[in-house]
Amino acid sequence: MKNEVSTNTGNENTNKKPFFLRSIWERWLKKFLKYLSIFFIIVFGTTWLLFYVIPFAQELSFLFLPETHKGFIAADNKTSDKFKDKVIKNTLKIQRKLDSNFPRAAYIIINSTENKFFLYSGKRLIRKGMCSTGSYTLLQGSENQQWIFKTPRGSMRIHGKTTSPVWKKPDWAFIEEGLPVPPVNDNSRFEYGTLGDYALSLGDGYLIHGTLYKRFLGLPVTHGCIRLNDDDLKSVYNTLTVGSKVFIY
Amino acid sequence: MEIAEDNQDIINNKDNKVLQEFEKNVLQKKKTPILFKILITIASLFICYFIFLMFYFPIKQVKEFNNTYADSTLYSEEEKIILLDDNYSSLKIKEAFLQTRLSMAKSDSICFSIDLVDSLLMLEVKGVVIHEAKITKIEISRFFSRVDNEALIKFLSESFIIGNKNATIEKEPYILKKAPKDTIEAATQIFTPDTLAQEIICMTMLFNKNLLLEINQSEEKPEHKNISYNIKTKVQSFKYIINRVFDYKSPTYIPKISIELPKRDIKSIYRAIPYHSQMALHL
Repeated sequence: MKNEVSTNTGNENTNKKPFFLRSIWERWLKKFLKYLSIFFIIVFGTTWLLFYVIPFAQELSFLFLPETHKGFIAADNKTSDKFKDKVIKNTLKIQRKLDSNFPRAAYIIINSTENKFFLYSGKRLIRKGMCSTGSYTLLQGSENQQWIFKTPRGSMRIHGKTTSPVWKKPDWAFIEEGLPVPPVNDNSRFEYGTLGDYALSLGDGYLIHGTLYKRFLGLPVTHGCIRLNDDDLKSVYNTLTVGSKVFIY
Repeated sequence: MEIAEDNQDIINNKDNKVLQEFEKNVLQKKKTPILFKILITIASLFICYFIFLMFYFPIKQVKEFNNTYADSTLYSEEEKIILLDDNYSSLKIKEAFLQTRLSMAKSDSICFSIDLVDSLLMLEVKGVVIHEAKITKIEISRFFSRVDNEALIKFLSESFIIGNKNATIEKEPYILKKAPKDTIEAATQIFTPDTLAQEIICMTMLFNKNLLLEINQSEEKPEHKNISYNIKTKVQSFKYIINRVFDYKSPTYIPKISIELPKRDIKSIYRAIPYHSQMALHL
């Protein structure tokens, strides 16, 4: 009895649904959902077919082709050995030429992504440690001036070595600090002690030097120079000479 | 019988609209077979085309590859027979790889070599290996085991040049900073890099000699985190095929080499190599 009552109430409720809602559902929403689902099935089906099934099946298609000369051994051993010896000799010759590219003197490799350095003498690793390289900051000043603080990549050489270097602050150093730019040889441009005890020049104003901000070692925070801690800098300074190679990547 | 019973129920409910709808459906059912037949024909044609595409073009590509790279003047008839020997051809491939590295050493820019035999990826400048990464997983297309040794040696004896490159990370992560007006504003701009950022690092490179190199991180890689990269990569390769169709060229199969490296290595390599870097390959 209770069931009947509840069913009747349910039917009444559905019948009581406003006519316009029912017609919207039947005329528009139902159709819309139907076409939307068909659209998605087609889109996903095509994507799946194009991006996953085809590459997989293309790889499978190679199974219809035989593997090239698998296990083939040349019958005439003497002739094949003659050719093999020739190739081995040539390979060794090329390998020697490649090895000769390695600098015999000490050189340094700097990984600017991980901010690490590796000091080598020939193929022997002497020292490795943390450094800081360019921050990739693009500083936009007034009058369409802009500076990019990144460490150049590639093969370079040590151009010069100095002890107790003094930093002559360029214009961007003042602009970055929100200070007015002083005249070219103004006293405020010269900073003592900020570059550490030693500096090795790479040309174009780029240096390998020390830092007061040792907590930033291992992070990309510089204006393009390479910063090392005091002990590493001393070791690098003593090992590398003017003309030593510097590889930055 | 069931239809009749259903009709009876509907009449009992005295709902004319439902009855009308039922009639509509019955009438529509007469139309569906024609539409259905057309759809089935289109779908089967579509499937047939793709089956053809799937199986024919890779096989055709093997033949084309052999024709393009086999050089009749390069080897004597005697050597051509010995080249069929896999031991000899692997020596020749090694020789070609070193020769390519030697020629790349003449260039000033950073390049890289992939040695799939020793599972190594080396970053090089002027012949000096500046970074070495151990490859943890290698997947090579079966294509390379189906082509002739002679053609393969020629294919590997010259460097590959990157044509198109795509990655989940930025190549040059610039941070834009406007010059502060005073020292107070400058103090608020002090930048500290985010060292805790978790990122998925994958990259793909399409080379000039129709080769696709995919480098994925060996660490765990949830697919949903690099969905945009996945779509971008797949769309790019699809666009490449479509462009060939519009240029009246036959669709092509791009052999793929997939490798896995630790993500720190991928990041260093990706940021180090120039836009059109060279690569030497040892298969």
